[in-house]
Amino acid sequence: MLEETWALTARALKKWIRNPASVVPGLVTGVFYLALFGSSFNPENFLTSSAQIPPSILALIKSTLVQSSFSGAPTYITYLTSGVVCIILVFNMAFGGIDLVLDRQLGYLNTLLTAPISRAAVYLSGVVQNLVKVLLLAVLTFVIALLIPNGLQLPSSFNVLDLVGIFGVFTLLGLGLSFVFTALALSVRSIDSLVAIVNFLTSPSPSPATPSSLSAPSPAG
Amino acid sequence: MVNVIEAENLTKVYGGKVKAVDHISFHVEEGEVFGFLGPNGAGKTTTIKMLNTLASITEGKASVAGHDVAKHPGKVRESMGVVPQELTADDELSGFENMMLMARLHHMKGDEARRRSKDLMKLVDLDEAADRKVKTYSGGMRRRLQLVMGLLHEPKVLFLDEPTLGLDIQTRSRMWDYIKGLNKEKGLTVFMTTHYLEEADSLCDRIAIIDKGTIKVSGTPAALKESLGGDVVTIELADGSEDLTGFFRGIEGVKDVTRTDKVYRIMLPKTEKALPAIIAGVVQKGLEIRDLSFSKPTLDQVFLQVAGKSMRDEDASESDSAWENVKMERAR
Repeated sequence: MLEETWALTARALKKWIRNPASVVPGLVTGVFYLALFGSSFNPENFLTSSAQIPPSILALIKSTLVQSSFSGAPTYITYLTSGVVCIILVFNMAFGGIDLVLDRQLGYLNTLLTAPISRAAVYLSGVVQNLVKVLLLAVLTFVIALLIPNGLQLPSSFNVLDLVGIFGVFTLLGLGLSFVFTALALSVRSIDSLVAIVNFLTSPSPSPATPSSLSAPSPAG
Repeated sequence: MVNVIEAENLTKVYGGKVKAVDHISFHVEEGEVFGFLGPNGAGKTTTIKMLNTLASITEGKASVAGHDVAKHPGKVRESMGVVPQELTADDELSGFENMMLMARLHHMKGDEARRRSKDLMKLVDLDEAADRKVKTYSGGMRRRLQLVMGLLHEPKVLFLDEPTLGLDIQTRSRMWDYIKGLNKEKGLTVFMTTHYLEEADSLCDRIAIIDKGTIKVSGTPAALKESLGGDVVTIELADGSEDLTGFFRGIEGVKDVTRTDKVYRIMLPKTEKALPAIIAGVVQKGLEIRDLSFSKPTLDQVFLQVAGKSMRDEDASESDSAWENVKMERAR
């Protein structure tokens, strides 16, 4: 079964790498969220020195802002990176099953099902290919975050074990999501159905427009 | 002769209501090209899907290469090659890569897989296009690629579901040559479905005509055509008010007559003998002949005889479905 799973995974990855239209958007997500939006929305950038605020006070305000808002991260990009990687992970997993639905619609799945292979290999290859794609995008997003000026700052004690730990967590999260969404893709008959279900599952939870948010007290009290 | 495929009272009911295949029984002998002929929606593809282990069997049983389809699907999959109706070769891979992927799924060793892939692609004149992506192939090239993808692991029986659907007549003719060659040179048993009458006539050793889920008649194409009683004279009269069926039947040599409104189809062993009497009789009755033709028996006439309608009438509306056009569009 492993050989069959790898053969099908290799097919999917080969197609993915050869098609820039499927790789580039994944990379652009990282660039957009970190380099563009990340820099634009960085609250530290709104605090600029002026005659009214002496530099020492400004530095104090910035350090207080960083400590209170970035959950201990030294910079806004450092704080943002893990979230961006999670977004990339969830959305790529959620829509990763589209290839399987297309295989079904175009009859390729039937070709696989008439071959003497384990049915589980078809499912597992779907899981593995999505995981490999997303982990590659996660690594590239980290690299982008490191390259941005005033971007991702790793503590001086950061070592290989920390790196393994971070990607171990991402791998587990990705694996779990991939199992769920690949199973979903194998159980639906059309891309429309998959997109509708995924949109429902990934729609943002309480936004400012939802009644629970509206009824909550404002920060100003 | 050994039976490679056996079906007994094979039945498929979808959703407990729609009976797509209704208690059909047939067998295919080793080295035979067996054709399932019928219009769209007759039950051909459902039958092939049950034999291919893609659809469950509601009732009855079937075996392929000696293995029970329901009990030992894995053994059946090892023994058969399948060339589906859809153009399923992967667009983004080259022809050779598609072959190698299929070889790996059939657990073939690397060197053997490469050698057989190259040999088979050469056999169907795809050796020069082997390294090109399949999306650059024409519809005919894709059909040929799928044919050899189904043959890579040297199956005992090859299932072809509408192997020439959507191809122009020249390409179709070449596909027939390839299939004939494989059958003659390698002794391959072929089970094919088609709604092209000429295809069944040209390729098949035996055929079964299926309509509305049941087999209407089976036999060799020659025997089925002979069973019609020889030539067919078709007369269209200007006026259809008088029924001349009985009159035509009374003419010496006439074996059978069918009537559709003003059109009579008269079966007779030799057109030359009875034709003068037929024409003279119509003229004596003061009726006007609008059209007159005669032909040697065809499988369409066999179908008309057993199903009460012409297959050609049904094909025109359904075979060019939108989905088929989409799939052919992919192939261009």
